[in-house]
Amino acid sequence: MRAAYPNTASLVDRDGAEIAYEIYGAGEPTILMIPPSPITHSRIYKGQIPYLSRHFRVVTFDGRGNGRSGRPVGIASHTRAANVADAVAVLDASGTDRAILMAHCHANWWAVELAAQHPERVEGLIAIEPGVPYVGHPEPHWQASGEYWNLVLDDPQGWQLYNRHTITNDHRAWVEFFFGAQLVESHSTKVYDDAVAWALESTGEILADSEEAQDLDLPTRDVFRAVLAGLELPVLVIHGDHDVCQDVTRGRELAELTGGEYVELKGSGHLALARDPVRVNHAIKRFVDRVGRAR
Amino acid sequence: MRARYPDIEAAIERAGARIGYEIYENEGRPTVLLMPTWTIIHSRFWKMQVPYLARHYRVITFDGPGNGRSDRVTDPNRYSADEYAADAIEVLDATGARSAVVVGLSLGAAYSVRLARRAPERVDGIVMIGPSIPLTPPAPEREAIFQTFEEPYPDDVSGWGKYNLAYWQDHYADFCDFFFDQCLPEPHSTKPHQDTCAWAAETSGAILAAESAAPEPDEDWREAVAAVGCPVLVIHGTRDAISPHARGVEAARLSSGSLLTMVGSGHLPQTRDPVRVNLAIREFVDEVAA
Repeated sequence: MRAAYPNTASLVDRDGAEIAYEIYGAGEPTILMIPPSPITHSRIYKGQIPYLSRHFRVVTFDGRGNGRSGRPVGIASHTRAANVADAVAVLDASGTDRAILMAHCHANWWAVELAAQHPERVEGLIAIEPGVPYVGHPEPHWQASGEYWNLVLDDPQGWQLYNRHTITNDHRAWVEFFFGAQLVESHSTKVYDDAVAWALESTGEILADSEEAQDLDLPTRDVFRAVLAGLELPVLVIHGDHDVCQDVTRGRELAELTGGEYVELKGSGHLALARDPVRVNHAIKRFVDRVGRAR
Repeated sequence: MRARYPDIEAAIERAGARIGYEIYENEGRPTVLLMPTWTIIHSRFWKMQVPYLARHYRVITFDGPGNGRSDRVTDPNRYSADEYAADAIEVLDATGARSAVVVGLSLGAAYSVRLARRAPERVDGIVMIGPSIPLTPPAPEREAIFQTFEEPYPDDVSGWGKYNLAYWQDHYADFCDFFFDQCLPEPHSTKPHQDTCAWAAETSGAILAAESAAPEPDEDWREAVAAVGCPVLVIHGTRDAISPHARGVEAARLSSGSLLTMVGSGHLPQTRDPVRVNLAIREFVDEVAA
């Protein structure tokens, strides 16, 4: 049972992978929710969809590799360009000329590229606990992972589980560790069960491929920061100050660079959207109302 | 922060104990009296009912002796079901309530039955949630440990063996942790577990010991439940490990009441499935107190 069901659920064929999308609510403006796939899919936004779709048109989709979308394998199938093109295809298929983009974690990188490449289709960006490069401090455990990503470790523990061999062969161990580490709030057992189950709808092989693909064709620091500074659209950044996936300094600096509004959630971790949905939803509603009025 | 605060907080003095009560006013509406339960917790266990019910009715809660804002009495006689019933009558008097729909959880259902037997004119109806009234035998694993309740516990005591007088004195917090684990078989119960253990920490093993020695009423429980003349609704979870579901079935049968079986629920459905419980209470109150 869901609190809200889509008006439309359909698929769009995209370069060998079917991308599943859903439309909720009606009217203007549209919020396109971009999921940080393939570690999760559109259900990560289940705390937002029922509320926001009472006020706005909401389009969600499952990224390639998870949910009801296809499971392409190989690094070349999971590039940033492919993920950005999927989001554009969903805008086209859903009849959405322009949308406010909402993204969580690394999906913000795709949202930024989409906004930069198709400015006429994007009228705002809601960046939740954004994972974009060259902004704020990277978490030390992600930085250290480069040393062991390709190693076969005897008995990997903690963040060492983040390596290709473990993710491919013991997908669950990595996923359980990762979400256990992210859910710093007490009483998170339901969100944990949900997040682990959604992650396991994909495969370790696809997750490892997508992790490597994310860093292909890296822009330089100067180029990427210039892209951020050049975004001519309203931005809202929401970040929990206890986030151990994307350090809170990322959100703070992204808001500064883009001249965006910034909401910091005290005591919240990386999944504030699931653990503190009311505060997150109200911040989004205020922002979208303002963007809508300014049109 | 609470979703709703009481309009009046006060206390009665009765039989040597100060008994704290709260009133959530709602002029002209029927009164709902939310009874205390086993004194291991206090009236905050109704926290998911009070804000909803108080929008529709006048709601009264009170703490029994031994916890919350009531005195930590050490005389076992003060913990009999008839004493709780007498407290309830005096709270109704103090709050100017001629009668009320009475809602009791676990042992609170037993107190409600005694209240209805002593003062039937004050009780418009009873909602029993997971009634802990000995109408059928307890679960086998619990029956066994009643035999050794007053004996020394072994060093390797585990499970229901912790339901032991001496263990309560030595390891009260660990007993509470175990007990509320048993009460809450539903997944994602960490918040109610934390709440109940914190309320339990407001009293002690010594108080539970006093309560455990309380005298039984003169009237047989089966006869008392059958003699309750008011409408009865029984709500009982199928996974109740404290008071078996069969007891709820029997309570409904003996009292000619209706039974709401909550599939998968444990002993505390009012906290883990509050919406269904609240709607059932509301439907019942509207029917009997119209």
